[in-house]
Amino acid sequence: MSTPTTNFAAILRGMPQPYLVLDTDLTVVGASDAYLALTDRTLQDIVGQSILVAFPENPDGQGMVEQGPLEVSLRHVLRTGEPHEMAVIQYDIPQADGGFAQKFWTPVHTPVVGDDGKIEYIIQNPMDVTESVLQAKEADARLRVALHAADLASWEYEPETDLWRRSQSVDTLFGFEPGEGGPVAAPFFARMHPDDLPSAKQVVTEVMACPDTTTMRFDYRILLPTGEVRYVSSKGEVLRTSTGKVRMIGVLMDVTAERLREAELSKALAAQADLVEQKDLLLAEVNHRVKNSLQLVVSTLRLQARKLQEPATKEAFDQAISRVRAIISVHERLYRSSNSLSVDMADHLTKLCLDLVGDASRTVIVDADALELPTERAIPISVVVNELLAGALRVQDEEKPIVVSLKTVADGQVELTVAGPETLLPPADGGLRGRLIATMAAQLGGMVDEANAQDGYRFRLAFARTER
Amino acid sequence: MTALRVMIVEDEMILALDLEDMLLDAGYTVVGQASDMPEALAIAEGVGGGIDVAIMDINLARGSNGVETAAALRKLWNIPSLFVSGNLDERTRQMAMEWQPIGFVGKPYSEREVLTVIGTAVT
Repeated sequence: MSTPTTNFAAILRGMPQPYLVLDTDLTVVGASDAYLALTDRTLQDIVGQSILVAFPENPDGQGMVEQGPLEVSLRHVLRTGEPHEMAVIQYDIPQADGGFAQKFWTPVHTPVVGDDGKIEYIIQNPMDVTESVLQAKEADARLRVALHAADLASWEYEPETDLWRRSQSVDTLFGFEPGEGGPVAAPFFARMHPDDLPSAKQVVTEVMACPDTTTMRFDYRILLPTGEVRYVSSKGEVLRTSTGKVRMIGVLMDVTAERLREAELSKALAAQADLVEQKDLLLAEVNHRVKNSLQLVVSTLRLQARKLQEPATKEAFDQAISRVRAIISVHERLYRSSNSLSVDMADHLTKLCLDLVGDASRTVIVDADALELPTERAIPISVVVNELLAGALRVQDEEKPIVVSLKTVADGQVELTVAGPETLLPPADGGLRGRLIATMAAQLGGMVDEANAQDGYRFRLAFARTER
Repeated sequence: MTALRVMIVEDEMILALDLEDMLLDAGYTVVGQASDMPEALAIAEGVGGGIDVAIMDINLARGSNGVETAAALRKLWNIPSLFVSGNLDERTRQMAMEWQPIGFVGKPYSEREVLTVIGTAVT
């Protein structure tokens, strides 16, 4: 019995769709007539030749015509045994007159498996999308202008095949000469900073694993062969084919200048913080030294006073020490508030009065608002209180309490009141006590109001909280 | 009652003299004056830890530190300190608190302040 023979070559030729058949060396073994018509070739032109020779790159369109991606796709099919659907590629067709016709395609490569399960052929089914691509040219041109204006480079990446199509500016950013970078992303990944590569790969892996992801972002550094580092920021969208294959489309921006500026700025800020810290340390040190020196002044006076025998001299010395203490004790209460040094007046006056009373069994009541004043205000107040109290406290057998109050009154005015026995009243003999009180009141720009009545003496000094 | 035994740890000699006069006038015993930590430890060692309180400056001579000296006195002989210094910021106070001082007096100090706090050690 004879086996009926089927003329498969004729069937292939007569297929109503354009088909090209390649062997595993990518050599053309056949084509449908529709394919030949589409590409304007004859079987004799192409059979027995590698597809890459039969359809050479258009020398005028170097960098645009894409033999690289085509080969990557075909080799991917050979390696995986899976069909591969390419994105739009430009592949110009040689003309009889020697020129090239500009053509755009979306080829699908399908493996054909022999009886032994091994791939024997690849069938290429090119879809000619030239017309729609050309129609979209105006939109493309707009996009290019926009990208250019924003200084953006555009790219397209297919993780499955590592196919990496991009505008020339991407190659420039990565430090590749035109044509040097090749059709796949591997050489580009190799120039990513090793510290950033894992996170970039991670983004790709996550996009592949999660069908809901539609946008992505990469920020990474490029290590140029010169050793220079370039910072780039990339944003993209995820496209998925009907078979769920992932393609990513995005833009890339050089942010090196911004990053360097940021780095310089944070360096400047750090330097500034250092200076502020140094200033604080110096200020604390100066403050400490000042306190120490003032303490030396008082201690020296006290050492000398203790040796004195003559009561009048001793009294004069004690007065001097008391006056000096009234001035310098302000420094013990100095503390930093925001940008300046202030004196906590309630605390200061309480301590000052306690020091003045000493061992004497006298009552001094301090009634002060929570008030902070600069030293140049605190010192005159301190002196006035010292002069009034020091005189009164020297008088024995006086029971009437002394009340010292410091209150905020309206309009940023502060009022110091000292009330108690008549002995508070400084003698009107032109002595130092009266003169110091008057001088300090004048220095504060304050108004003195005194009252001496049946129930005792009252001294009142109103002044502005801050110097005008 | 025997007089309170006080050691003065202060590297500024004028202040140490002033404190000594002040304490003697108040009836206390001054065990000795030290300018730095080794001197303070030597004095304490010499009297077998027989000190009731140490008046302690923060910045001592030759780079030694009052808080560390107070720590050593507390650990070796359980001697408490009264810190008298112009350098009593929050951090210093916090570190000093660990050694249970009897108090802190800022500089410039008054006799009253120092004697009042010392008085609390007499119990």
